[in-house]
Amino acid sequence: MLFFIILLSAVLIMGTEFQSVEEYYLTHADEITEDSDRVYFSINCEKALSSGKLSDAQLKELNNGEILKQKEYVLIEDETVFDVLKRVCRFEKIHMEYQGADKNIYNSVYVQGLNYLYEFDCGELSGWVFLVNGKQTDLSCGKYKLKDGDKVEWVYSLEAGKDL
Amino acid sequence: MKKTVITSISAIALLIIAVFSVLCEWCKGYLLASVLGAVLCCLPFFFTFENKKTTTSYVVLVAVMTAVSVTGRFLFAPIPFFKPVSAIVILTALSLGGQAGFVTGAMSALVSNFYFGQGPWTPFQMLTWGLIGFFAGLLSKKLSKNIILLSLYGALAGLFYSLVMDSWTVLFMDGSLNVRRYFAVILTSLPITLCYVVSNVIFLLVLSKPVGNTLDRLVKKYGIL
Amino acid sequence: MNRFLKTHPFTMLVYFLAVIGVSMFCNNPVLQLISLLGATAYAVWLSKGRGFLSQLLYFITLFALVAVTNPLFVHNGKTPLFFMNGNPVTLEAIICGASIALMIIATVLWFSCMTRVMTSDKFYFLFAKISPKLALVFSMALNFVPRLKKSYKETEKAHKTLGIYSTESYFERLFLKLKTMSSTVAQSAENSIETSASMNARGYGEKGRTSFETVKFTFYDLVLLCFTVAVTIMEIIFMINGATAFEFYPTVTKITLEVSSVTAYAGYFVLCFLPVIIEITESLRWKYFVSKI
Repeated sequence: MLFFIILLSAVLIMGTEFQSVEEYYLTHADEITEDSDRVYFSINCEKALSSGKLSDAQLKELNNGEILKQKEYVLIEDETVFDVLKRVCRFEKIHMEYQGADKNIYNSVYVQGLNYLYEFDCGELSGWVFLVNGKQTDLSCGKYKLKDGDKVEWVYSLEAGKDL
Repeated sequence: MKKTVITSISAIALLIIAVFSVLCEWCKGYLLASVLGAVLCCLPFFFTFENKKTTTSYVVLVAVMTAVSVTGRFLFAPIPFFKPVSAIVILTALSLGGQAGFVTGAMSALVSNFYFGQGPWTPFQMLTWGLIGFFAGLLSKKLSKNIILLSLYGALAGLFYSLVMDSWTVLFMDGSLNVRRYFAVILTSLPITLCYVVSNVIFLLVLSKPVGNTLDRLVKKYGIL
Repeated sequence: MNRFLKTHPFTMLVYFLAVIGVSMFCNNPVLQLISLLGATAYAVWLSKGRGFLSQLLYFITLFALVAVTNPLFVHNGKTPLFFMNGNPVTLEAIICGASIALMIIATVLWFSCMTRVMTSDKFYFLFAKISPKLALVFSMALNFVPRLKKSYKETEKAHKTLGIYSTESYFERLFLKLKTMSSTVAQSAENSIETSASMNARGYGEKGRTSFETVKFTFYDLVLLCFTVAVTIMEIIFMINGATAFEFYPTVTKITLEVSSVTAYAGYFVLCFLPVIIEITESLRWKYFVSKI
């Protein structure tokens, strides 16, 4: 029994990738040159503050709703919304938790939490929604490919996207 | 009359506590509610068993079959997850009826946990094994004729038991039924589920003839039912 | 040594449900720790220290397992220690896992104490008031189990003498075990009919049949019951008020020593250590009286 546990944990350990905190955050944003594609990124959770369901510790982290003010980032070709989000969070040291594409029934990447604010924290319908150029898209963030000049906003919605 | 009053008052009290704990989120609401819910669900079955007109031999036979399933659990304790309890419960239900099956299942959980250790899982085990017995009793006409149907029911019972115990694990750890966690637990306990299913089928196949015949013979000989 | 064992079953049941209930439904690590210490103290007293070291190893393994699995699933928390597959393993998640592990171990210990203290006859007494048939099934089943075990062993010996167990194959022996079991079942089922006939002859099930009770609800039991209920209600009020509220994410709540939380902790401390306190005071009193002879 013990042997089985050790074997299982060895297999799991060899299959995962470990990085220390410094390694993970040691990315740098690419330089914005004249002819590179660019996107504008922002993360906002003002609606969550008014719901009254967050703990004091969470409220302290949320910085009055503006987790990330709109900023310009380089867009690498064929990147999806999720790729850019991952890069941005890594560079700006924002906490992000996501569920990989292979772990849910829709086969798409799903963002569960940004900056310690998680889905369902403010009710059954609350969660993170992203808008491209002001509109919600049909595709998930792991599938929607961005173009030069797109404006991506991640907003915390209290009613599954219907209150935006 | 007094018994009815006590039972209904305690049932209503449990229900109120369960609903209250879910509405206020001051504790792991769903865990308390589900434990109380499991206890509550057992109550009507116990109630009907209590008020049914039965002979002494019926009650004693139910006690014997409970003891048999507990002893069986003892006997096969060295082999993990290989329990004849579901099989005995199903066979009792086939010969003595659904209520006997429920009581056998519930009481086996309670009694065997005296030896193996009580835990917050007890109400769930009682309810699960009880329901396995009860439904076997409902389907007794079809199951007693066809051995393949019986093994299929045994397999389903094993699956049902494993699913319920997995949901208890998730509730206990998290306090609410997180679907992702539930799927993870089900996946990790898949080999255990398989053990339950296989053991149920084996026990049913081997024991159905001898135990079934014994019980049927006793019922006929002494006019128990 | 056995004063707590002699309390009325109802008081005992309420006590255990209260302690385990508060421990299970409050996620404050201080309360879990108090509960664990109380359970450990009483378990050591009950088992007189024997066999506890082996259990200790089991508990430490369980603790480590649970404490480690929580960070693997939950990645919330402000202080990441390292990253695994892109997800952070945080200190808060480890602390939360440790707290859950404390609760699980405390619950297991309390239930093992309860198993030793709430013996089957006490259970039967509680049951019998509510539903005599079920109480009968319960007590008879408990009674039959050792008898069944003995009769199984006898049948097995007889089969061995007949040479039925002489096969080498593991599966065949398993199969034969089952056969022995089924013949034991048949034998005990037939015997039980005789038992039921004798019960009928003695008038079981007739109206007006009295039975003798050896358990009385004394003033001591009443005091214990009231104390347990009072402390539980106090804990519940504190839980609703938020005096014992505890958050793990994004940062762990600092344990403050306000009046309300200290009262909650102290009250629960007394409740959890109540059996040990009772036993120790009784044995001290006994020693005192014996020394006076």
